[in-house]
Amino acid sequence: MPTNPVKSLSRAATSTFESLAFLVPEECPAAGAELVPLAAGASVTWRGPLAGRVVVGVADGVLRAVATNMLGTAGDDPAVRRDALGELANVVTGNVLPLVAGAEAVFRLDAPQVHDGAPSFAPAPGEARAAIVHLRFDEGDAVVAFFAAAAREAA
Amino acid sequence: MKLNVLIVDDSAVMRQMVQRTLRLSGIPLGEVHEAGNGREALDRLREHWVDLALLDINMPVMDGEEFLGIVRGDEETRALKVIVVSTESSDTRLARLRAHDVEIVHKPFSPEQLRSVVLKVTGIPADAHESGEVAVPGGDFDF
Repeated sequence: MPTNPVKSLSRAATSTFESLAFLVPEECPAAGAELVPLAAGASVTWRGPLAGRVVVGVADGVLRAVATNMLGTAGDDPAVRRDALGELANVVTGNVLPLVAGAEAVFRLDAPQVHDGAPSFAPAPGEARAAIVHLRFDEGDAVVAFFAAAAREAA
Repeated sequence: MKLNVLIVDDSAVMRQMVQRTLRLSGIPLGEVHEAGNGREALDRLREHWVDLALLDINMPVMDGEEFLGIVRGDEETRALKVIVVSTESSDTRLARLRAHDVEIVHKPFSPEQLRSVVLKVTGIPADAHESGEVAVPGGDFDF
C-alpha cells in the first residue's frame, strides 16, 4: 500500500464517527483491541485493484448513540441500529480506500453485512490484517480493522 | 414554491438523515419521496414530479451510475437536477459521474455542505427560506 494503512484507517474512522454520528473518539493503543467488549459488528467487502474488507465492531452504547445521532431520535429499533452501523461501516470503507490505494483506483463495494455480537478481527484464509484501530468514546469502545486479500479483481 | 425531492439510498437511516438535514437546513421541502435503489427511483420518477434527486451510488439491484445513464438518456427525465451523495472518492469514477451533469456531496457530509450544494443546484437564494417564498428556476408550474 502506498500509505501507512493504520494512519489511513484511523483518519477515515475518526472522521466518519465525528461527521456521520457526531461522536468524537479518543484513539487508544490497538494492542488488545480483540479484548474490547463489543455488541455488534458490520463488514464491507470490496473488489478492485485491491480486494478485502473493513470490519467495524462497536459496544452497545456506541451502537445506540450512532443510530440516535444519525436519526435525531432515539435509536431503539434493533433494525435501525443495524442499518446505521452498516452505513457507518460503508462510509468508513469508502473513505479509507482512496487513502490506501490512491484517488484513481475504482472499487466496487458490496452491501454491508451486519450481525449481533462481537465480530472476529482475525484474518480469513487468503487475507492479511493490514490495520486495526481502537477508538474510545464516552458511550463505549469501537474497533475498526482493514483486511487486504491477495487476489486482484477488476472493479 | 417548495422542492419535491427524491432521496435514493439503500440505507433507510441515511435516507432519513438526508431528509432531516435538508429540513434543518431550511430547504423548503414539498413532497419527499424515497427509493432503495435505482430501479425503485425510476418508478418514483414515473409516479411523481421531482425537482431534485439526491442519489447514492453503491446500491443493490441498480446502482446510481446506471440510474443516471437511464435518466439522462430519457427525454422526460434528462433535465432532472441530481446531487450524488456518496462515499465514492475515485477520481476516475467521479469524472464519469460529473459527465452526467451532477454535483457531488461526499459522505460524511456536514449540513452546511449539503445545503450549499442544494442551493447551488436549484438556484434557490440562500435567504429564501426566511421569507418562505422560493422560485425554482425552470419550475414555473401549476401543481
